[in-house]
Amino acid sequence: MLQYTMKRLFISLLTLFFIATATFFLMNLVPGGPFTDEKELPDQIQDSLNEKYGLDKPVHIRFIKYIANLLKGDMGVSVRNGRNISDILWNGFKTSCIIGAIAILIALASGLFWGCISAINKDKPADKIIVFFISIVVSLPNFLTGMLILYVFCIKLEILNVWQANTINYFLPALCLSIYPSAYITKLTRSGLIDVLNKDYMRTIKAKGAGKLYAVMVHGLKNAIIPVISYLGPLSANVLTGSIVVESIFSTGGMGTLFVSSINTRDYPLIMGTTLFFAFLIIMMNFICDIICKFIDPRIKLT
Amino acid sequence: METVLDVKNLCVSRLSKVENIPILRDISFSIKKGSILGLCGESGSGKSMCAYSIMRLLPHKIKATSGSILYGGFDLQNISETKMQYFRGNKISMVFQDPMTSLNPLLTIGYQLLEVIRLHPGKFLNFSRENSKTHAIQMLELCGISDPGRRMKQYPHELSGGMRQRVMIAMALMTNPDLLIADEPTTALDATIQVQILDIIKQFRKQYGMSVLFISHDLGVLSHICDEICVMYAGRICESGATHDIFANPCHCYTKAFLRTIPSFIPGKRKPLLAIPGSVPMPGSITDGCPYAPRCEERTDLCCKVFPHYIKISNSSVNAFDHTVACHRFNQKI
Repeated sequence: MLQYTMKRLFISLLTLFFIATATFFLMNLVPGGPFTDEKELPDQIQDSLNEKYGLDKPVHIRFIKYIANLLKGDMGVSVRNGRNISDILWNGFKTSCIIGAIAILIALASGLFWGCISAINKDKPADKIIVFFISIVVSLPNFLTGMLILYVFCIKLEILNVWQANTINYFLPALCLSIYPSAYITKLTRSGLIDVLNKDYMRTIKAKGAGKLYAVMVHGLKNAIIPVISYLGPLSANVLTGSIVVESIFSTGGMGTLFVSSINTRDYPLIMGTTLFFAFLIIMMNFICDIICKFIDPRIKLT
Repeated sequence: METVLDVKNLCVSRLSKVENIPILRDISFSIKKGSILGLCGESGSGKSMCAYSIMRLLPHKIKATSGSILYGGFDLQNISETKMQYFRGNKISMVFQDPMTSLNPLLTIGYQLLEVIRLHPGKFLNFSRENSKTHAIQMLELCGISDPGRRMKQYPHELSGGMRQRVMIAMALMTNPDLLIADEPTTALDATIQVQILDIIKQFRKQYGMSVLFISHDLGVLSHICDEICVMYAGRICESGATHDIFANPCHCYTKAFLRTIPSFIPGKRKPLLAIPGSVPMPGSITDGCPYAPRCEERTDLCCKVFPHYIKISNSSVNAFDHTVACHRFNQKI
């Protein structure tokens, strides 16, 4: 186990390094720079700005300097407003993380619930209705669901304000974010559980005198949940870093907005920061999910 | 002797919108306390369906349409699901054919054994955690599992097939049931382990007076363990009687042919392996006549049209289990 963790850690660091390298050189290939604007700056000012942020040096020297600083834990400052990258990231992540966490909870709870109901009632009306709704929900784009949610909750029902910075209002963007994953988790749970319910050991547990609910909850779900957890890894990395669409509709701000605006403004250090953070989150979440899977299914070999 | 289970005229069908296809027809047998009844027949003759009907674990859309299964004064067909759950695993236990897939791969042996105790708290009054654990370990030991304390913490995939089948049997015997239904428990195992498993079952019968419904297609195994045998063919019982009577005086043409298929092991006397030409008809294609008629060498026109009545050949030579057969050749003689 320790050996596995060390190996995994080493590979993760290597991956992060490659991602950093690729991003750094690719973003420098993109035409334009942080100080190219509609209103052209005088050459002198541009030169002095470039000098201030070290942009006058060749790319490979800047890269080596960046990596060296990164190893010291310094992600640099934003070229646009001079703020610390780690501060900017932390601020964006705080919002995205709360919304994302709520979204994952909603998705997991509703996905497992509807998946179980659907699988137990396979081919009955309840199952057919759920499957029908899944196919609709999966194909709805989230700018549309976002608008619908705003319309229903804020304009028709007037339960919540469109945006007011308090925790309850994190609920609406979270709901919007959770719709696709909950449909997907329902689908995964349903197909996994249908498969498991036909297995011989489900007959054994019934022959031991267990009720249907107990058999499904204790023996069925444990076997059916592995694909859901594997999906949860990339999902949580995705959801925790926010979505630009949902953040704009509910005007919450967050990681997604940061990501897009950093690219638009060619804010090189911020692009690097958001990319590396995102990569780190995906790698970590996948690792955690692999460990959880191993914990649930002892037959899985971690190599 | 007191009867534990009495199956009377059981009919099971697969229900569909167009027509109901009969799977079991008119099955009757009874199991006495402390005796072992064997059900034998080829694959597809309905042996396992019999077992599932008793446990009420029939697959989706297959239902018992008539007849009764009497156990302890209850008709298992009509009691509530809660009552049935109380019987299952407690009074009537079952061991399944394939030990490789019959245990939940994600739970330890110990958990799955102790689960039986948790599911039947009425049977294990005043059982503490420690008590339950010692009981489970004892059961594993009785079933011939070495180092049972360590096995409790292991997962099914860490055990061999024979070990897993022993665990299954230990699990079924945890509650000391009145009736054990063993659905081909030795088919997936090799010969040396077969004998050990059979010995465990026999030992329990002797010790606790447990009755057994033993299902197998292996006549060698059946002759080794059973007191009485019912020979099944295409969803019907064609001959039943004490084991000795069946082997010494097989009456139904199918039983005779079936007995001839046992390979001979005597060196120098090696005969070519015999087989019965044709195969067991599918449930949908069985006619009203004797189902074996199409493959039978001695068939008459009558055989193809009418199913013969059950005729008593003789009173049992060993116990109270009469030798009966459903074959027209005997109807004509009488």
